[in-house]
Amino acid sequence: MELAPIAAGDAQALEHLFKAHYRPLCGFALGYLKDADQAEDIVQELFVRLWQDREGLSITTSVKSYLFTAVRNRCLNALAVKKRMRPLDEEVHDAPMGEDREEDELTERAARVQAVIEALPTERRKIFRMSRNEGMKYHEIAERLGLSVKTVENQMGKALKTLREELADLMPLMLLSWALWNWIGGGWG
Amino acid sequence: MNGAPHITSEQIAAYVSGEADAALRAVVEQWAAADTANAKELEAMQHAWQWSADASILPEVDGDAAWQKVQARMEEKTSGGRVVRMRPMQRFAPWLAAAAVVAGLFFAVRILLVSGTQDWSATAQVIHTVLKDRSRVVLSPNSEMTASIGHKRSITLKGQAYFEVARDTTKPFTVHAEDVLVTVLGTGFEVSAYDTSATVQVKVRHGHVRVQANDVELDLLAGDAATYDRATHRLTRMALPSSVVWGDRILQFEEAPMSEVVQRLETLYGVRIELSNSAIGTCRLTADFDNESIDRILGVIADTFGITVQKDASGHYTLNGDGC
Repeated sequence: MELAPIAAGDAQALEHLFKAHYRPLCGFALGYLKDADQAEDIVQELFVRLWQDREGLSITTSVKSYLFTAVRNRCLNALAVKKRMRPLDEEVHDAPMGEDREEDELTERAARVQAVIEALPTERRKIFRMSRNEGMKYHEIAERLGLSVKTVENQMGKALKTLREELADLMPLMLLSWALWNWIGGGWG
Repeated sequence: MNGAPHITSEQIAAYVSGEADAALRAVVEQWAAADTANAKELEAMQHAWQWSADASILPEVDGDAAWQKVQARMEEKTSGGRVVRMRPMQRFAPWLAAAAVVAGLFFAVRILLVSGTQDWSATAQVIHTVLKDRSRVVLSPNSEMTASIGHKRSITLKGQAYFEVARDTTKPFTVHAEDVLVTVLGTGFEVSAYDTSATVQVKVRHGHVRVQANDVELDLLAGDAATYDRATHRLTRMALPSSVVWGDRILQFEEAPMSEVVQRLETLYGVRIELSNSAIGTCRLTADFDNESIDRILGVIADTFGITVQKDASGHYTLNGDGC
């Protein structure tokens, strides 16, 4: 639906799509790459390619999930290249079995977290960052931004709720089993 | 549920972020203890909070600027690819032949494969070359360049060169010219750093480059230029002049008066062009020419302004018409 006009050569439709998803996609890429410039580059490149290959475009999933999957693939490629390119004199340690996979999962999670944060409305994102990453107190944030403490509280609540909801599928199984155990215990108690 | 108070996400956020006072902490803990669903919810919120701890900071990206970059590249491949499209194979073969013929006379080409770097120096003639990464360089006369293309792509330049950088996001392309460092992410741009000039100049034709000098950093987009003053060590941003020559035969005119265009063409193509009517000199031309012949360029100009071109036996051109 969003894609039909793009396939037909409507550059404005591409612009809308770009502006709607640019920041979250960059955040997603940043989670993998830890390099903001490279992240932006990869996302821009994707849209250039999307345009160039527009005639052969066939997407069966939602546009959004297509974009995120494409960015993910591009990031994994870039990381693979980076890994191969590691200079010989750099210490190469043999990772124990499973460690790689665990690392991959952490990277994946970092990317998802980052994408959710970047998708927050600008003001809310700013407030969340000040609290979470800069360690500022609510009243300091309120003062700095000329807002009421109540507003900061409110925005923080919304930000955290969004994160929790968007990342629901990543919540560890431990949590479920713990809940289950509690539930059984509760049932007996 | 269980008579416990309803808890908002605001309260949980305050709790997990350490903003809650003793009273609120007690309320939240009581709520969590009252029901496993509540406890689960609290723990999920705690996870969300923890996971966001080491999120990297994405600078406030400018969506419009980013879009412009994408747009520039969309056009580059679909319509502006003339440089590549015209005669992709032949474009650089001639200089190899020319180099073989006139090597000793006009310029020297040195290729040092052993050291992993390649050196070029142009004395009287322009040198066209393709680097190992497929980036293209047009080195102006009286210029020297050393290229090291491997894990990194690094160029050292004295004099002037125009670069069409092959895109490779994993390997930054950098050009050192005196105190100025230019970092590129796939683009076409020119660096002028002649010993005899008081300034080092960087001009961007398309794409995006970053210029650094003495801790000052400028991001340049298509149509931008920067000047570094050797004496004051200051780096400043500028607009591109109305007529620019990229490499030796890529011309770009932006609202340039015909009088200036004619001068440019005369120097570049070694021809004489006369205006039968001085009013033609005030016409303003906006056009790009990538390696076109002088006949074709004058043909386009004639069509643009509704004038005619006359070529006499000695190869002199005359533009006839009313002007603008």
